[in-house]
Amino acid sequence: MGKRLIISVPQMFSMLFISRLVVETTYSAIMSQGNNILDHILSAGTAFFIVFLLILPIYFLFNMDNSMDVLDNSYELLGKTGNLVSGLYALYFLFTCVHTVALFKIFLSNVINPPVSTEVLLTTMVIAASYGAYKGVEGLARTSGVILFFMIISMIFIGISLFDQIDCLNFPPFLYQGTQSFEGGLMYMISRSSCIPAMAILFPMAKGNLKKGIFIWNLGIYALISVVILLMVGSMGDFLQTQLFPVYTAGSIAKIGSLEHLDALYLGIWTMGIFIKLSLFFMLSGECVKKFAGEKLGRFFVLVFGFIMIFFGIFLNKNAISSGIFSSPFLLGSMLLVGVVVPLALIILKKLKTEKLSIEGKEKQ
Amino acid sequence: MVNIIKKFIRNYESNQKEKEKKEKKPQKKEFISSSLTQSLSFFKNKFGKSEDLTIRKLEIMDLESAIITMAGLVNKETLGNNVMNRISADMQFNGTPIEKYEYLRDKIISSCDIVQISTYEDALYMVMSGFALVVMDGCDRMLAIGVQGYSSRGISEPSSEVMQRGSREGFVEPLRINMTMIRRRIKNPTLKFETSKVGNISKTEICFCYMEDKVSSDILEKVKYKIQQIDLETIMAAGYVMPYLEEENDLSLFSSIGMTERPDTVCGKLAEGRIAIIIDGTPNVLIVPYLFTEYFQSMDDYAIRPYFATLSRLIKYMGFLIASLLPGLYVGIGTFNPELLPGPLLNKVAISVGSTPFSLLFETLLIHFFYELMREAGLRLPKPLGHAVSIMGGLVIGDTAIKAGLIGAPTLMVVALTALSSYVIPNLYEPIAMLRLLFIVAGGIMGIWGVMILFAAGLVNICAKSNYGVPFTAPISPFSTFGMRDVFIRAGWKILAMKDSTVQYMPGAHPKRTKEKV
Amino acid sequence: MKTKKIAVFFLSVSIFFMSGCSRTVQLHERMVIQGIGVDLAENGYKVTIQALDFKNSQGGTEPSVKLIELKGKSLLEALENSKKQSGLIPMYSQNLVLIVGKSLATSGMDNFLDFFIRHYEARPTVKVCVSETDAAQVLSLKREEKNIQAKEISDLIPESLHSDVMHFVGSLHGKTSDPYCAYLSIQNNGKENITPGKNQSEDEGDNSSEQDTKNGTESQEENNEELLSMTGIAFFSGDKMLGVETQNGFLGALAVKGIQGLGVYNIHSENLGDISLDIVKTKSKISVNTNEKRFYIDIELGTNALEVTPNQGANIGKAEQEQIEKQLDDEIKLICEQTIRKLINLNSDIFRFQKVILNSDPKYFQNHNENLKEILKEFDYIVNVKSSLSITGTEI
Repeated sequence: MGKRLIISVPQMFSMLFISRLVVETTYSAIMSQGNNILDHILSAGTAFFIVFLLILPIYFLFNMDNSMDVLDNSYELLGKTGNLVSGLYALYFLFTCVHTVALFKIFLSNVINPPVSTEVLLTTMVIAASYGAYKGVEGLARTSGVILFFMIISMIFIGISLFDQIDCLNFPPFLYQGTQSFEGGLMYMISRSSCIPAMAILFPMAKGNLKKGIFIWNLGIYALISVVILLMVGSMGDFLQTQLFPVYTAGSIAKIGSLEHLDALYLGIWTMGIFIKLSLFFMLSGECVKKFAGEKLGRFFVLVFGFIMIFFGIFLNKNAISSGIFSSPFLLGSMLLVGVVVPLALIILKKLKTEKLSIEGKEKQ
Repeated sequence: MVNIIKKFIRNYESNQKEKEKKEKKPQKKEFISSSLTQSLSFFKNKFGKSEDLTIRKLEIMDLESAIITMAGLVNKETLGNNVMNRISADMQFNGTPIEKYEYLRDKIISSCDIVQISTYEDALYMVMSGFALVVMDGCDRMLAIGVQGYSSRGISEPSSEVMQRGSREGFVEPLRINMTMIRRRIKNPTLKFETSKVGNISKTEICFCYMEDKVSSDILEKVKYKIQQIDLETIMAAGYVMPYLEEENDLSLFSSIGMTERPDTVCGKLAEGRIAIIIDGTPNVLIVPYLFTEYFQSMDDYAIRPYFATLSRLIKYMGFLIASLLPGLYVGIGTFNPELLPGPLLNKVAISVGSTPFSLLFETLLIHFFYELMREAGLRLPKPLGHAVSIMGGLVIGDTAIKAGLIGAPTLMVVALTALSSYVIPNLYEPIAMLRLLFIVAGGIMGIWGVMILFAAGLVNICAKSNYGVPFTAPISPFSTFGMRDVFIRAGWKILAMKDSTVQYMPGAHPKRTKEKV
Repeated sequence: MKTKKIAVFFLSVSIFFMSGCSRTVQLHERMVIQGIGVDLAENGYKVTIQALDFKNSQGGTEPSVKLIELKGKSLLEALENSKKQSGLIPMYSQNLVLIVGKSLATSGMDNFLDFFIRHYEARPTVKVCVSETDAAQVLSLKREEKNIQAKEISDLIPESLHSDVMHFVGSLHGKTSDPYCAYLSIQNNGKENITPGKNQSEDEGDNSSEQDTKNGTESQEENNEELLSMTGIAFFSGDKMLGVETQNGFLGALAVKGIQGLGVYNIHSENLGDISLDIVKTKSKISVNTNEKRFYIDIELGTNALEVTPNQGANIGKAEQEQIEKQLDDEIKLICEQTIRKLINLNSDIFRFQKVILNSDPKYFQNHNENLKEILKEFDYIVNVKSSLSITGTEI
């Protein structure tokens, strides 16, 4: 892809922040298989450090040549076999899109149950996201800035209103029921870190202090998750256990003065967040496809990807979101493969190649 | 399968290339003949029976000569004093016709606005611009003397951009007068005016105005290039040129080309490194590049205290959101997501919807249609009739329709509030009206989800837009804290003038990296 | 040709999107439910719905409401029957209050509460209360010849009482506490005292003229004044209602839970006379020592003396103020201890003592989780009340 400094580091991380946030705000204790949601604060704390470790291979690979992304590196080191890496990344990003669409569907059908057909809504969302992806990373990055602002404002608004309803007696001691809940939460958080592979493509596009960006992004995410959990548990107590999407329920009980029904606010920002995530990952999958199929054929594949998303979105079973290919172990495995294993392998190959070249150079001398 | 697609793409590409090959042949310029008879017959042939061509034959320094003018475009007094009186005097000068021409040009004619022309094309253009052409037999050139004197509208306050405090001057139609209005405000030699002609038939003069030390040379080059590429027969208004200055394949509802009738606004923008494009025959001056936030700025903001100016800015942004989103949200929530409405409000809306025969979507579209109908009717009508329209509208729609139970009061109120809000930013009326319509339809089909998805897509549309490498939404996104001093708030002048803030240095701006190639 | 293709594409896309319109239900085709009353009936439930009446609401400042009575084996079945009766699709998001008849509350509420958790339109902030009479009777009360509105019933229950679906269901499912909710009664001619904290002696007297109407809504029917008011709290063990705490018990429960708005409390002192105290601030903190098997309940009260009728010659100085405070502390302490002991002995842990144990000694909780409610009976409950009195309008 070459070095194209077209977005700033804060813009890149605002996109990734929103992409993480939409997953975390549809955070479900049932999905993460735990009873004591408060334990997930510990999970968040641990995930904070693990995510740092998981980013390292991508970061080091990028540091070796900051003009190349993971795909460029693979083509340089593997030649035509690099097509496989591109294909793998394209599939992973498409898979993330499908997962997001599935999340959107389950949220629609279980929590909101709108009178509009979910098929129409899903198709509209995919079409809008395709448009977002078509507009490119620059447009998306700028949009994320605006949406992030709205998100933070509404989060603060909901947070303030919930803060008043916190009852300290609702906070049980950590890990009193064992570590099952902690482990479930950790698995949930790490396995859904699809932003890590995205960084492998986005890093060369961003201009600015990357280290600072990674730190603030990671800290921001897990600090926010912790605050959200504290607010949820503190204000709703044991009622949380009965809710599939407790953050949404927290939004619905929040009120400031005569301003009630703040779930509308939550719905709005969440929809826009989903839009950003879908657009970003759709765009990334398109970029990967274009690498091996070329610009023109790539467009055709992107179209096919769009149809795949719609197809999965429409025909996916409600319960499929937490099982099969969407189960946490599969999500974790696929994320580790493209986020850690491939970059790590490329680093090793690159090191070997440099050493070989230097030995050859010495021999020639 | 892949081969078929590749073949299809290849065919498409070759077709495109063939199209590009079809270039237009440039017109050859015809040089002026040294024979007076030939030159005069050229003009007679060109204008034929046109009454306004005036040819006055006379002898100048014993040479057969003629003065060519267009009736009504010259000031006869100036022509008499500066040209006719001088050349009618008995002049004695011996030499070749060319030497006589030069003597006349340098010693006799007292006007300072003299242009020497050597092609018939220029001659035609000059005479039709109000110049008097002096043609002398034996000379292969002509003298164009500036004696323009056509009548034009006097300088007055532009009705579309009324200001409470500040200049009452607005641009007029003649280009030169507009140029003087700018020069009078910026007495600096770095202020440059460059003209060129656009329009195959109308040959309209277009002037680029910029400050040499502020403007980005990349942007300037691209603007000039784009103007050169205009392939129009006539240019009768600034709107003709605007699409040619926009980004390629831009389908945005918002324009990144500013338009103003105020010289003070233009001067302010020039100082920020922008380029003003003045088009002869229209009082609307174009400004490039133009940012989204500038739609919310007005000269009045800078003439009042910053506190109120800030409040006024915030009201404008709120107005923009209300005007574009409110009806869509109202229809969407009222139809699909009534659970989001607070109880007392829901009761009122439900009672209203229950008492009218139409659905909320249709009702809102209907009132909007009536409103736009009234607006269009009132816009171009003489003032006394305009009152009649407002009475009709107010009585028929506002009162009778509600009493008859055709439309609901809450819907009418929403539309009225929307209309009111859209007046806060008159420059954005057109995009807001379109957005509003789209949001109403999205809300009516998919509820709050539709509105939100459309909002996000619209946001991408605006944010992805950049003109001449400057992001349209800067400095909101990409964000600049310093840039915010004149966006949601209007800081005091001490902060506003703190450092140079030319447009090419906006966050995220890359004037060199644009889609257009020069 | 290209234009035709584009036109066909847009046409098909718009037809697809327009299909969204086909499922549109206009607001007036919905039954906007304001209040739900549930009573026990033969083979199921009798549900009384108070819904907006659009037809009779036009032009008025206040919307009219209508009552619909439904029956079904389950709550959902009964509610869905409303479609058959009215032709309108019920809308639960605007529901403000859920009134449960006493007989149903006593037999258990878990079966039908699930509807209020799972239904996507139901809101967790809906107020829950038990009525002394049938819920249907409460909803059909008349006020100035109009039906009493659900909003008015909901307003009777203060927010600070946390008598809503969220807290009720949370207590029910949490297994570390028992639920409670507001208790509503209808009285003729205001025979019963409704304000918590009034002394027994006052309650017995027929002092309708002094009736505190702050928490009551008067309703007139055939010259009979009918008053709906919140007279106490209903306490539960699991999902079954065990009883009601009214008057002093109500006051004690509120004080132990630290709920604001205890109301007016009268004390009588031999040397000072009668003093009416308005308890404006309540704060409580419960801690436990599992080794000593003791709960410590520290209650702080902020009071204003509203009516002071000192005996002749009695002067209210600092010493007298302290005396009043002490007397109040002692009386409230006694009330609280009696209330706690009574509820604990009845197996109702509305004060969340189990949760306090869980938070301060999780091991003890884990070890005794099975029969913690029985163990609670063996605990001592030491109540410390500290009040601060300010006598308004008087310089001391």
